[in-house]
This record gives sequence, structure tokens and C-alpha cells, in this order.
Amino acid sequence: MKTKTTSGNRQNHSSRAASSRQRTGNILVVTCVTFAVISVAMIIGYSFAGLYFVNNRLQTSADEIALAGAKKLNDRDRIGQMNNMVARCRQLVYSSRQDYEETKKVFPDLENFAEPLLTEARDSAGLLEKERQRVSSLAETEAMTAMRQRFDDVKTTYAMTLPWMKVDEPQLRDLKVGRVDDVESNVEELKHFGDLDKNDVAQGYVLDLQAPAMRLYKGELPDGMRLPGDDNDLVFKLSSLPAPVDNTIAPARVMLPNRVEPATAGNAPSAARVSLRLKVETGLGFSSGGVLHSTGAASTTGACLQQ
Amino acid sequence: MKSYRPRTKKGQVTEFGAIFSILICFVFLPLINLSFMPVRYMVAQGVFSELSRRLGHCEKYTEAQALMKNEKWWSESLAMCGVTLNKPQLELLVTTGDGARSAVFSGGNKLPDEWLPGGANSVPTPCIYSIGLSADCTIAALYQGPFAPAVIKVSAHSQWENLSKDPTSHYYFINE
Repeated sequence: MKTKTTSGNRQNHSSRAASSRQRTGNILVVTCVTFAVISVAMIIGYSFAGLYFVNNRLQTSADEIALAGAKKLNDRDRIGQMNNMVARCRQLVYSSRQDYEETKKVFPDLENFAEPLLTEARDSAGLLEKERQRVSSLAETEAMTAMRQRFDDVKTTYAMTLPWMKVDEPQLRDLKVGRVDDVESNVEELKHFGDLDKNDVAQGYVLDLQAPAMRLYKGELPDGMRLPGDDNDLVFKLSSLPAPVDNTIAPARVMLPNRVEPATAGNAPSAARVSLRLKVETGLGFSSGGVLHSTGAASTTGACLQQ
Repeated sequence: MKSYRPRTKKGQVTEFGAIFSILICFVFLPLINLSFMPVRYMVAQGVFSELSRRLGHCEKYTEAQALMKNEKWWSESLAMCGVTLNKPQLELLVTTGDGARSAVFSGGNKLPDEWLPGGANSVPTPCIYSIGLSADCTIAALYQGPFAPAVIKVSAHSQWENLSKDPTSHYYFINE
């Protein structure tokens, strides 16, 4: 009897122990499942937040690179000053031609004095056109270099490998300079020669608007501006650039990429556009990833006041 | 005499299965269901940030208004994510350079002269201009069921970039 009781107690103890072990196991399983679910949720959350962060950063970098390039374009108002010189040179040739014609008619003896002045004015127009092309090319080269340098500075800061995310170095997909649509030249119509003014309006060289609108010469005309009469062979080209309005100079700024148009050949660009791509992988337990794209654009500093 | 009978595996599975079902049905699934709300909030915040960035890069203020009205991608993205928009508002926030004073202009109100670039408040340091977008967003859980959707005010600000003047009207683009 005594033996039986002892055996019963042992049985009871072992069954309690078994039950206790089983319950502990249940909690372990539930804990593991809970932990797994929370871990997956956290990885998804971190990946999502990481993608969002990286995408914003890429966009900021694209804007920053475009702005660095745009600022170089009109560095020290070189495009603005060149536009002003071209417009005035055109007037000088027109004026010299008028003087020459008048001298020839009224003072024929002085024709030999007037002719070199006209030739000089015409030569200066040719030289100025060459210099304008050189400045345009220089501005473009310097802007491209500035953008590439900025990109090189930025790209090394991207690569990172985290348990839930892997980010590569960004790649430069596209680098362009151009002009902002609807922006004309910075030069206001020069009003000293009535006939020339009428010709410019008739030819559509000037924005024919009523006051208080500024009557600006149009920027980047496909065939440039020409003079009436014998000097029709000379071409005067003005680049597109924001004009100073009431002594307010347009600051360089980031803008919407779709406003940037390609600059016509030979004209100085006034806006920059950059496209970046970045390969990103997220760690969701399997390989998942994609490529982020960002495009930034910026307009250069507007022209300063005419000295 | 009370006797203890060892539980069979079948019984344990049945007991554990019931608890597990309760855990899934009443804890995990509602939690997963509700966890869509912060995700949707983040999506809404992201969409607002992107839109405000684009608005800040517009040429004119009216162009920004038109962009907000005409562009469909952002409202469609939010609708797809189960976020309903109520009265989205566009506003201009101007802060003095030292951050001491600020003013909000909404509803298409023009900036008074003192708050314009070069105005009285821009001396000695220029003011900072930003465009803001805000709306009451109704964010629902994945399966609404007994959970009422949360109404959260989502807003985002971005710097206004174009501080130049229009050569046609001589007004600042920010006031056009």
C-alpha cells in the first residue's frame, strides 16, 4: 500500500512536470512567433523609412548639383554684360552706317574719315560675336565642371550597408545646360534711333508690350537680330537671362525641371539640369530593390544693372 | 483520491491552437490592421513633402495654386493609400531673418510691402519665404470594422525659390 502510494505520487509529480514543461514550451512558441512578426514589421518599417529618406536625399543632391552648375553660368554677370555689349554694338554699327551715309551725302570730302569708323564698328561686331561664343562655351564648360565636382563630392557620402538596406553610389544619368522657357534677354530696348526701333518691333525682335512692362529684346532668336540695309550680313545674338527689374536682381534658384529647354546653338545657357540614379536594395529576407531617379534643375543669377 | 492524468499531445494542441487563434484574431490581426494607419500617415506626409517641394519651385504663386489644383498624382496616390483629403490649403509663411516674427498668408492674399523681399521686415537680414500645404487627412485602418478612422492634420513646408520680379508687371513673382 505504502509502495503504491509512493508510486502514485511519483506519477503525479511526473505528470505535473510534463504539463509544466509543455506550458513553458507554448509560451516560447508564442513568444517566438510574436517576435518574428514584430521583427518583420520593423524591417519593413525601417526599409520603407530608409527608402523615403534616401529618395529625399537624392532629390536634394540633384537640386544642389544643378544649383552649383547654374551659379557658374552667369558668374560675375558675364552673360548679362555680353548681352548688353552685343545690343549696344548693334546700335553702334547702325549709327556708324548712318553717319557714313550722311557724311557721304553732305560732306563727300570727309567720306574717308567716316568709312574707317564704320569698318571699325563692323569689325568690332565680328570680334564681339567671337568673344560671345567663347564666353558661352566657357560658361558651359565651367558649369559642367562645377556640377561634376559637386557630384563627386556628394556621391561618396551615399554608399551604406545596413541589415535592412543597401545603398550604392549614385550615378550621373544626365547633365545638361539650357534656358528657362519664357525668359527673354536682359536688355531693355535701346531708344535712340526711331527707325531702328520701328524695324525691331516689325521684325519681332522686341517684346511689344505696354507700360509698365519692360520692352526687352527677345532672347535666343533662331536667326539672331539683324540690321536693316547694308549691314544685314551681321548677326547679333542675345542669350536668354532674367533681367533686373526695379533694381532687383533675380537670384539663382532651384526650379521645376520641365521649365528647362535646350539652349539654341551658340547661345549662352542660363539654366542647368541634372538627373541622378541610385541603386537601392532593401533587406526583407529576400533580395528586393530598385533604382531611384531624381532630376534637379536650377536657373542662374539674373543680370545685374547696366553700368 | 484525486488522480492526475497526463495530458495527451492531442489535447495540448487543441488547447494551444485555441489560444493561438485568439492571439491571432484578437491581437495580431487588429495590430496589423491598425499598423496601416501610421504607414498611411507616413505616405501622406511623404506625398505632401514632395508636392510642397514642387510648389516651392514654381515661377509664380498662381502657378503653384494651379499646380496643386490640376496635378492629380498626389490626390490619386493618397486615395489609393486610403487617405481622404479635406480642404487642402496653400499658404505662404514669411519669417524674419532672425526668426523673431512671422506671418502666414493664405487664401490667395497678397503679401504686404513690408513682408516682400526688400521690405521693412527684410532689414537687416532678408526674410525667409516658404510655401506650406496642409489638410485634414482621414486615415483609416486597412479594414475599418470597429476602428474609427483617425483625422490628422498633415502639413509640409518648402522654401519658396523665386524671389525675383516679373518684368511685365513689376510685381514680385511671389505675389502673382
